[in-house]
Amino acid sequence: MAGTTRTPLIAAGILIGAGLGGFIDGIALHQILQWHNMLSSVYPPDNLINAKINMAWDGYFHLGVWVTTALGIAFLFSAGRRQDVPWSGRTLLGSAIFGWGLFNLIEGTIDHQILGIHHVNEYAANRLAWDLGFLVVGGILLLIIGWAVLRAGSNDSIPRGEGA
Amino acid sequence: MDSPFNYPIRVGAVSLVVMTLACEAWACRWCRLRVSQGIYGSDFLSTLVTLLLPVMALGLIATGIYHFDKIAERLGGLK
Repeated sequence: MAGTTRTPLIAAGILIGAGLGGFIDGIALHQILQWHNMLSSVYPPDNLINAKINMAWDGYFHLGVWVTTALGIAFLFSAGRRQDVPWSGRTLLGSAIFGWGLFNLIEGTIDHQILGIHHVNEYAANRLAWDLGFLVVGGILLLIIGWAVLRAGSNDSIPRGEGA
Repeated sequence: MDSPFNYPIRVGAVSLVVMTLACEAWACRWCRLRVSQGIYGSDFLSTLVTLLLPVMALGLIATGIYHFDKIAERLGGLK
C-alpha cells in the first residue's frame, strides 16, 4: 500500500511481546516452577540468603520487562494516532510473538550460553539440553510463527473505528 | 513522540532510577547484612547492566524499527 508503513505497529508489538514474554519467564520459571532465578548459577538458592539475593535480582529483571511493556504501549498509542499506519490485529499479534521469540533468543544466548548466570532448569541432569531446547522452542520457533503471522497481515488495512 | 504517555514515562523513568539505584533490600533483621553484601557489592552496577542487556537490546531494536522510515529517509539522503 502506497504511503503507508507498518513499522511503528511492528515496533510496538515487538516491545509488548518481549515485555509480556519476560513476565511469563519471571512468573512461570522463576516464581511458580522455580526452575531458575536470575543469578541462580552464581548464588544457588539453597539457603535463605542466596534465595533473597536472587529475589532482588529477579525484581530488577521484572523492572526491566515492565519498562519494555510500558514503552510498547506508548509506541502502540503513538502508532494508533498515525493515519499512515494500517491498523491490523495480525500485524500486532505477529510482531508480539516475534518479539517474544527475539527476547528469548537474546536472553537465552547472553544469560544461559555466554555468561552462564543461570540455566533454564538448574536442577536437570542435562542443563545444556534444556538451554538449547529453550533456544529452539522459545526462540526460533516463536520467531518463525511470529514472522508467518506478520506476513499474513502484510496487506491488512482496517479503517479506524471498524471491527478488527 | 507526541503522546500523553510522555509525562508518565518521565515520572516512571525517574521512579525506576530511584528504585534501582537509591533503594536497598530490607530483608529480615537476621539476614539483612548478608543479603545487602550479596547484592550491593562493587559489581552491583556491572551485574545490573549485564542483567538488563537483553531488555536494552530489544529496546534499541524496536526504537530503530519504530523510526525506520525516518532512518531510511536520512540514509537515502546521504547517498
